[in-house]
Amino acid sequence: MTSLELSTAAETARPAPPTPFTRLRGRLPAPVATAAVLGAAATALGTAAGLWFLPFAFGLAVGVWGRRRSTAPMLATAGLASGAGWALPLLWSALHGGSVSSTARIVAALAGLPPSPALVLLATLLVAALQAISAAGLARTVCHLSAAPARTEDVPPEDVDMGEDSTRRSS
Amino acid sequence: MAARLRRVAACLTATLSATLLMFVLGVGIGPVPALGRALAPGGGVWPSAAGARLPHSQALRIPGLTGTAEVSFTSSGMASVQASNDHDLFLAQGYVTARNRLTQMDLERRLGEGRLAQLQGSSAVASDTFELRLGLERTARAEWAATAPGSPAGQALTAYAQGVNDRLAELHSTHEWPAIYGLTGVHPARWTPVDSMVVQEVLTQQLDFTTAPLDYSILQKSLGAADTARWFPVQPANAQQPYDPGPYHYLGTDPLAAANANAAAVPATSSAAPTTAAATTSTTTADAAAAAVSILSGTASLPDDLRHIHPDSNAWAVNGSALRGGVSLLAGDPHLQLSLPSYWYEVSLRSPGFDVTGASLPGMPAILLGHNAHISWSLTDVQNQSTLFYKERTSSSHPDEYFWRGAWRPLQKVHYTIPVRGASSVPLTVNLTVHGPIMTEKGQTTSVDWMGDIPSADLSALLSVNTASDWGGFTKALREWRAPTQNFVYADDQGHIGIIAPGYYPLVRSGKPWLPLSGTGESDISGTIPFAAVPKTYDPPGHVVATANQRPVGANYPYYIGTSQGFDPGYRADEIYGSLDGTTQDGSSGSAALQSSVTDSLARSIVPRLLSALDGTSLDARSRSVRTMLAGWNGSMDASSPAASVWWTFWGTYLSTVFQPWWDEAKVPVSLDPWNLDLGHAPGPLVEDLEQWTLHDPTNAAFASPGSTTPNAPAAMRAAFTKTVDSLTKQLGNDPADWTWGRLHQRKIPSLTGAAALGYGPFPAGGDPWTPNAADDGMVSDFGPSWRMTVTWTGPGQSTAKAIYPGGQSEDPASPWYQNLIPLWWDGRYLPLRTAAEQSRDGTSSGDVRWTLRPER
Repeated sequence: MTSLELSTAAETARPAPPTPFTRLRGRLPAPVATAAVLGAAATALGTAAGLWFLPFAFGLAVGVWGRRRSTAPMLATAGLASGAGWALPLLWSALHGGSVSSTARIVAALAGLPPSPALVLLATLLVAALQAISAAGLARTVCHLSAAPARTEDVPPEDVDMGEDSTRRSS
Repeated sequence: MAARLRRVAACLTATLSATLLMFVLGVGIGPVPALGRALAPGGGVWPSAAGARLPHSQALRIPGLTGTAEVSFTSSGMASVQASNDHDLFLAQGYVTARNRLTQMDLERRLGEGRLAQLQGSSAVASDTFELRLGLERTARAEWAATAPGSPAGQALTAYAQGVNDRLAELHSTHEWPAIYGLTGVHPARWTPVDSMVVQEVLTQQLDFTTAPLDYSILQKSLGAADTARWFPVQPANAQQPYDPGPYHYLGTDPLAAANANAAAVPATSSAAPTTAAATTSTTTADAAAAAVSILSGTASLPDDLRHIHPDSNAWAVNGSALRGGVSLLAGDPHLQLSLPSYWYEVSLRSPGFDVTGASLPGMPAILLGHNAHISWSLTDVQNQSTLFYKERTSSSHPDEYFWRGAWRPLQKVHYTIPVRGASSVPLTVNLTVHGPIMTEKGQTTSVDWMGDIPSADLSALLSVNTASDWGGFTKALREWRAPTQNFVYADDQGHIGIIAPGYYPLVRSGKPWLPLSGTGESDISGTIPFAAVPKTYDPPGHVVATANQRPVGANYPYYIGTSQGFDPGYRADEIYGSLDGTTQDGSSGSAALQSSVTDSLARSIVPRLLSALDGTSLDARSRSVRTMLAGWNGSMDASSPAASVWWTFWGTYLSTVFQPWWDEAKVPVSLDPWNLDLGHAPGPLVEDLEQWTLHDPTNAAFASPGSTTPNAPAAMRAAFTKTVDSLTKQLGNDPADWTWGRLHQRKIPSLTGAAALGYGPFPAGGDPWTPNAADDGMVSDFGPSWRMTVTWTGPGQSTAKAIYPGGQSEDPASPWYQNLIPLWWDGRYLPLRTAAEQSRDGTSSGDVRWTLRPER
């Protein structure tokens, strides 16, 4: 389903109570989707090069880029894209015969956890997502600190419409 | 302004939390590893998945090789290495072993070198402290220093280390580290010859290091000297079958071949004037017991198998009229702590100098037990006393000194720093006396003189055994073997069989070596039993030789070798001799069956006495049913046998009925060393006592315990029988037919890493500690036959060998070769133990995987 179709559906549907996530579902803009895809690709490639901290770097970028967007969708984008970025190499490995599940089970056992592959896989995705979310939150906070007090106080971040880019809003 | 402050605070909070998160993910905190690095898909734990893949035929470039070496793997993972020279052979052996057992090798050397905490964190500091005190690494360094680089042992160790390091270099390049390294971020250091010697030292400790004198010290303090001597005698109370029945000759003593690497050099006098006893630390029984408590508490921190507790190994050989279809036969099943991966890595080695097949110890070159073209050998532990404890005289007026041979001597100090993952390093200072390292200064300053601390040329001896072709060459090679003292069981292609037990048997100038000895000089070691006088037998007229850790010699052997606490009660030896004596074995099938036998010979001798004791006794219906069951039982501890449950429960209850009142009255502190003091673990000497009294002395004074209502053996047996039926009814239900042994007794094979999910079992199993197929270490047994092998010689250079062990050739839990051999082992089946030539010949048709190892360009 494309973003255009999503927008059309949102316009014709009965209005739902506004939450950040319904906004995300209803009006996922192309720039956000693009950022997510790029971020996932970057973190996937980065981890192959041993750059385990790339989700954090990606989160910083998302935080700066989305400093005037709603908080929750922006953080969700960073977290999900990073998690996807780490999930992709594991999925690729599993599809090519790698014993991802067995390795996860062994790691869980070595760590003293119940020997469930799901635990380690979940922890892996969580580590990527946490990095990105933490970094995005940090970047956003720093950006707001450095911004003019009047502007940021007048327009609380939570009230910024996810579908508007900064150019439109300032015009 | 307030809003601005809120933003600043929020910014600081976000910065701190992000920094903390990235620090934890990148560096780790406490026991939590650096999860960012560990879980990132491109590195950390995930590349370890490569270890699960089975090898495929390929050519590999291996630095250090001088020519081409061929390696092959059977479909079960059995490895074979062929090389054009000995250097390449051992290099390839090191490489192949490291490909399959790197974690095991690294854990073993870390254990011995006191570096486990660097990988496992603060939970391993106590173990590291103990091992650094005991000094395996110091001994290994001394051994390597005494090894000529150009000697066969020096060359083999160097080549083997090169092979291991070739594998480490590959892993540094591919990052396909075993999962434990990916998870912790701690990686193995380069392998050195000293590491190989440490691995051998760890096995020596497992087979040779005991705390028996400390137990005797505690028993003497609680039970008193008389009862301790009566119930834990030097000579066993029961009748046993030594493989060397004599006649014996006293041949004097030989000096130890080398100085203890963990003892202070014979020191210069510090304070020449002897000091009066009043000025010195007292050496009361209470102090000695306090010292024993301290050291035993230290051993409690060790992995279960680092103190020799369970005497369980079998090996026998037959020839002549005792064998049909061959000229001689060897059967061997060393019993050790079971683990995944196993102690052993099966391999055949062939070069111009070697053609040998069997079980190798990962980390060590060559074969430890197996066969070559002419001879075969297996091992059991001698169980002699190899550990002596000394009460060092110290004084507050002479700090850092001890009194020895009339003068105060300075303690030699060795300083260590124990690295700990996720915590600060721990400093450690070890004090050495002329006897060895001081193990505790609580109560009584106590040092240990352990034969494993003396450098010995065991690898040199082993390499010579690997290439020996007859009994003369075999025994000549073993002259250099020092520790652990082992029964080497032998059979050859000329039809000869024998056993010899080389090694150190320490003898002291005076004192009772089974107790902590005086450290002032008069009880020092005076030497060892000469090689010509050690226990041995060769081509006995009965055509059978067998050892199952029973005392190898009779009571009139002219040397002290240990007390009844050290040796096995002899029931496995009785069963083996009983099965082999006067019979003719048909090839190896009989020996294979005997290795899997779960017949308890003690049960067979005691149960008839129990039935007699019950004669004329009024029994209820259930007890009558149980009695009938026992009357028809053959003593086999099968998992499906209800009678086995009755017997085992009865014997433990009987032992407790007789001895527990004495233990309670004396307040024996069993918690200090349950395996040797707790009646629930059936201490060997007490089992021997009770057997002997039941069969031959049913009114022994021991039955008249404090408050006893069972003044003789039959009365005690009746009481124990009643308790047994009640106990099993409560535990297993009303119907005795349902009381199968497998409901009480299980086996498991734990992972070496300690991760429960990576082990095997527990599953219901037969056997007990006294059956040839031994199951020791409690009702969930994890101690038993670590390897089973039979070699049948049919003529010069002609043999048929088979073997099995409970595990698999790979240490990777995800590998199909991790535990593929366990079902065969469990069922008493074997795989062919093929020589390199046989594997080369048969491998092509059976689809063996082949590696061609070539020198680096």
